[in-house]
Amino acid sequence: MRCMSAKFLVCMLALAVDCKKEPEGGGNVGGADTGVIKIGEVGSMTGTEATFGTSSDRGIQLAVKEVNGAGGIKGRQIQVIALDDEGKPEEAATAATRLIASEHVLALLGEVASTRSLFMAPKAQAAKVPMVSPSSTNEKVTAVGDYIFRACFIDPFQGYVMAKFATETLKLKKAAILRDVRNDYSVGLAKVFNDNFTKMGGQIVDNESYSSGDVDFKAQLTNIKGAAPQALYVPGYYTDVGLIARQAREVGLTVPLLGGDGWDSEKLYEIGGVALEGSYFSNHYSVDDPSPRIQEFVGKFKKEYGGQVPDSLAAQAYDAAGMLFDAMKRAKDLSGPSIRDALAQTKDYKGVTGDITMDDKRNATKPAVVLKVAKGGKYEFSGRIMPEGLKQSGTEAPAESPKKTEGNTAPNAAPGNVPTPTQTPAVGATSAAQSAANTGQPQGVPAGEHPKK
Amino acid sequence: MPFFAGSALKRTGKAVRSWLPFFIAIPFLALIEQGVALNPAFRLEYAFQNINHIGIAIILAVSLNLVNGLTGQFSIGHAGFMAVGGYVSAVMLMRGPEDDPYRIFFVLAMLTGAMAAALAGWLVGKPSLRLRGDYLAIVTLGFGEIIRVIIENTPFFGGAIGLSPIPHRADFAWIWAVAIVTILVAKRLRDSTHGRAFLSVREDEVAAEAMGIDTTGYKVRAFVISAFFAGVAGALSGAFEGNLAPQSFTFVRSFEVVAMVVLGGMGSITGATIAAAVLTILPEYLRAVANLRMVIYSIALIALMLLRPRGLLGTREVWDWWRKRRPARVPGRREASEALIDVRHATIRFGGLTAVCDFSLEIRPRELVALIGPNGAGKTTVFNLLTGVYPPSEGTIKVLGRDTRGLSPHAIAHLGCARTFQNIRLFRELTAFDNVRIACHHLTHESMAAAVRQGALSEQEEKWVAERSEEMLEIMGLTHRRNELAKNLPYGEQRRLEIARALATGPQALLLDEPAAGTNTREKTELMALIRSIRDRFGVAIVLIEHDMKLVMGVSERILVLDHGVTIAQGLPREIQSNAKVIEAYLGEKYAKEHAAQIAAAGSPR
Amino acid sequence: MIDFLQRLVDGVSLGAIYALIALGYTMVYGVLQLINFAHGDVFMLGAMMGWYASSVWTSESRDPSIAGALAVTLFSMLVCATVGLLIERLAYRPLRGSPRLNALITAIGVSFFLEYGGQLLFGPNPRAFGILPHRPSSAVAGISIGYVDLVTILTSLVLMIVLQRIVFHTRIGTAMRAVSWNPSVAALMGVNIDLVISFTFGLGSLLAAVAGILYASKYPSVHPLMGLMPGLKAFVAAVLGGIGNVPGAMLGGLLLGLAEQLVSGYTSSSWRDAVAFGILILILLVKPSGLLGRGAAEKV
Repeated sequence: MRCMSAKFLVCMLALAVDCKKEPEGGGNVGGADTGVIKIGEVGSMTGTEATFGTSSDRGIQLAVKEVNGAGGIKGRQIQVIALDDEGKPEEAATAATRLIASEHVLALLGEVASTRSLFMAPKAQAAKVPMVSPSSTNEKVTAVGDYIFRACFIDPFQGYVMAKFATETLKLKKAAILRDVRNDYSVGLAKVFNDNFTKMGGQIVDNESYSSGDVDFKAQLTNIKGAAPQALYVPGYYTDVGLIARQAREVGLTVPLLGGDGWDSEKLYEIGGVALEGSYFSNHYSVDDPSPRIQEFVGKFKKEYGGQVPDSLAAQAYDAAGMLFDAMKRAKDLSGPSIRDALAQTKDYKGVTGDITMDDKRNATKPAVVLKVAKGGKYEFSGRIMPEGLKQSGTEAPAESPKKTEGNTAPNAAPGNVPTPTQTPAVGATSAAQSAANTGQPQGVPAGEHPKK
Repeated sequence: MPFFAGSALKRTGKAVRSWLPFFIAIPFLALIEQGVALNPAFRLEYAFQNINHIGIAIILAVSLNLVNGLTGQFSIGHAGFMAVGGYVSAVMLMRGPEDDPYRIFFVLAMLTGAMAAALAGWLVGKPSLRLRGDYLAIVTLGFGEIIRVIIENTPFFGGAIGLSPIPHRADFAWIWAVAIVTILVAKRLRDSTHGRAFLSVREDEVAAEAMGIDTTGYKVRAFVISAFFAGVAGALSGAFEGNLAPQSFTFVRSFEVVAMVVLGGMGSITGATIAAAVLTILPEYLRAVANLRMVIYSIALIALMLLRPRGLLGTREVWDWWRKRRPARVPGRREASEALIDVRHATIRFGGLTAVCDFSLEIRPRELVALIGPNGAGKTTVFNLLTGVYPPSEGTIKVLGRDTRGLSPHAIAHLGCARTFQNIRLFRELTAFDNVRIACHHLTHESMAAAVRQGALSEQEEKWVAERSEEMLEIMGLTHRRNELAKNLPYGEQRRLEIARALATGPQALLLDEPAAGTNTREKTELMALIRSIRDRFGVAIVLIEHDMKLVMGVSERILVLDHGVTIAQGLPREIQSNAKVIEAYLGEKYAKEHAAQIAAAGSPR
Repeated sequence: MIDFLQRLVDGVSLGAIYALIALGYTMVYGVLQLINFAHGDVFMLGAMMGWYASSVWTSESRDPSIAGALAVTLFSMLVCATVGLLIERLAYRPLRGSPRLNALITAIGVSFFLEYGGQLLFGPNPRAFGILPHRPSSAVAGISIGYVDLVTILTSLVLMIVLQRIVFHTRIGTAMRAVSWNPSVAALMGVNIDLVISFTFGLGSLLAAVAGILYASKYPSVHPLMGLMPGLKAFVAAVLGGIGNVPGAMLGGLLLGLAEQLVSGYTSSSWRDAVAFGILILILLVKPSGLLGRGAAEKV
């Protein structure tokens, strides 16, 4: 028995060491001149945040398919190796290390949540492997080093966007905040909104918090109601927002809700229902934006994934991948430093979520759109906010555009406690997608944690 | 002069020997780290990341094993202590010096974090450890969650996004050095008398208390030590990854460590180590079915509980095969001193029932007293009063001159009052030898630190304990059963073992609760002789609860009769036999008549 | 003042749900001395089955009615009772003689199995739930009481009364109490232990199913991990009231719901979960037998 257990331990250690595979087609630095180009992807494909990972993954795979179909990069096909981190930060670090050291990827895509990106980034930076995060919005991520980029805007910008919209467009003077204290994205947005709203002449009358996974917000909402705000900023995730909206109406709080891109999902209206009508949120793009670029993307996505409408995560991931491939095309060779330099020089990359330019902190400067939740769960374009100092460019969406997807009618959701599940796509070709979405495709649920965007 | 130098040399030699494994390991580990792990030519970052994760898992599992496995307390809050240690040390590191080439500041930060974790362990353990197993589990889970919530809500600790960047001060060498230390400490503790104390708490708390072991104290100690090492693991993790986030310290993390301990075998350090390695590396291999990981975990756990509840290794250790047997013993004799049990008007009520009423008793040194009465008379309750299991509702109890009100059973045992139990409360899963050795524990003086250091005192005391225990076994005729598990002994031998164990505590008063129950006539006669010889040899006073009148009459010098909690008679055996009330209540007229001659013939015992 | 009363009402309706779940915990603990960690997940299963029954297999959710709601609830109760019986039979019965720690670990294992297996089977995404007809909230003196809340409180009351009758006025209830006092003696008296324990499990699971449906009606987001927190909190409620004690579970549930609402209203909601654990620790330190419980000394 003693010998057995000693032998066993040795075997385990050997296996641990042996876990790496032999490199194919070149290492990270320099790389071979032929063979596939390996790109690594880290995402939460399982666990409580499975939607984000799978959504992003779909965006990335679509981009890869397009590029490969058009001949690849420098004549070589791209291969994405996607690893699951189960939504855990330390797993993200392990996955990143595996991709860099064992799979010898040339670049990394990921992660959605800022916390997990922060765990990955040092590995990428140390190994001089460029990393592009599609959706991490915390400032600290790109501060890790000059090999870390992001294709989305950062928290300070989104908070500014909604503050500006609230004061200038909605002409509000008093607002309250309900933030998710377990989610740094939410905390960050709340703080920036607070600062900007007050700077622009408004007053924050109440500041409450909840933890993602909570289901009962009556206590906080009753407090908020007592403070009599004109709007409530809820920069959280869609399922919590859905419940919050309903309970807000139940306690008699009728003011509009304001939010961020964490709201963007088909499920938002499904859970929140009528309670959400008249609320606004900032986002990267609008699915209904009739600009050809966006509609082409939406069409391709739906075609590829059985009618599923891409959410903002998928769009951002699509752009992140696209931006990376664009840089790789421009780079003089496929070494880490060269790709990095090309990425840093990205200017006006025509992404689905806007024209992306890398600023000196390697964050994307691009505008945000504000969408209104209108009757029946349709989203109405309500404004585009530019980052300070940037001119208007790109497409202008009309003030009101009907939802392009085939009609959906929310069954009369009378005010009350009961939401009714709406069908966002039409009955018919897409009901299969709906039931598929409901039974098979893992989509995120913030049972315990939320995406740290 | 030469003698002096000789013993100093011996001590140094001993110290060197005890730390030797560690001294060999350090250069070896450093070599691997510099030459292999950090060597860019080998590209082994991924492999070593796994290896380092295993190292940290080992620290966690072995430390939790101390509480869950060795001491038998079910704690599911380990991740909370890891978080405390990790965060405190990370905060220090991030505010520390830029360079730390000799890692002095890192060690300081790590120890601070570990101490903070130990403090947290004390704060959590002290109030909770007197709860029953299932409640303790929930409470520790709750504390773990509370710790995590506090961290999440405190901007100083980074809130939801966590702390970064933490200076990278720990790598392969540090992690595995600490892992080895953890295993060594755990092993040495386990092999020492303290380890046996832990085991006794797991096996039977009531009996352990009766043998003089401060069960709550030991539980708290195990908790604090394990929290300390969890804190160390947290500090290492932070300094290795460069990041800390509260999502890493959820209940699920705690449960993963629990799974390692359970899988490896509760109480086996080797098992915990192996299980830690397996359960850390397996998910990397199961990436294809990653979403099944928790499902597989849970099924495996259920299956394990159903099929092999002791885990893979049970309580066995890899080094048990290296163990040598200890040689023969030196006979010892303990002189009797003035012993006194003085009970005055003790009464105890349970709700509406008065179990014992106005009970008074005085036991002088070397007396042989029997306590008899019909079933339910309250005899065992009297024993429980004497040994501190229940405090009296009224009256005073003095043992060896000290008022025992408020004293816990182990303190009373330590004073010199030992007992056996009506239903035999041996440490069933331990050997006869260990059962007796545990009883010697309260007489030792070595500290836990000394046990880990394997200092001279600890070696001496181990030897003394072993010798004493062998002697006790010999007196009881159980030498041939030395290495047999207590539960496997035949009934009569189990009773004798219990007496041996109680004797080993070195009492001045020995309380035997129905020692002859279930024995046959021949065994009873032997027992009579044995009891007398114990009294003669050790000079203890013996108080006996018995139903067998032959034994009682043959052995006791004085008899006390209880009926419904009240003393109805007290005196010499002959007086009791002829006492009308007693005969009525208990003996029966018929008996007295039939055995009168026999009893007279046996003579009044001294 | 209005706010305080509103919070009271919210606390009562939340507490009623905790009470329903706590009843299952307390009964099982009474007969088996086992904390059935998996109970919260049976609760989740109730809600999940309710969702399937109302949104996938019928169209109750799109056209809700009282009768339909009852039918869905009954179906869900059936499924949960079966699952509860299965769990008892397969995972707990073999361990009846073993140390309690083993049964506890098994219970945790079963709980995880249901949660993560549920994620696998049902997908982790949340479902919108609704089986009750839409009725407006009632407003009494400025305090709003939702329709679901009324239904919840009413249903809980009725179920508790029914349970009291079962436990104290039927033969099987007497048998349950006998087993909880002393299983071996009860067996000697001719009680079929296996039957009684199975019955207890089934009954507890039925209640959990109803609690699941009511909870999902109130917080209409159904997903496989939804039972973890409510389960733990209901356990706290059971301990608070005195584990093994049926009225105690109701009292404990109510008190916990109130405490939660008041604490998160007047301080910060981040401490909502901490409240439950805080209460648990407090009660175990001060009066471990619970508010209505009677202590049982260990026989030495």
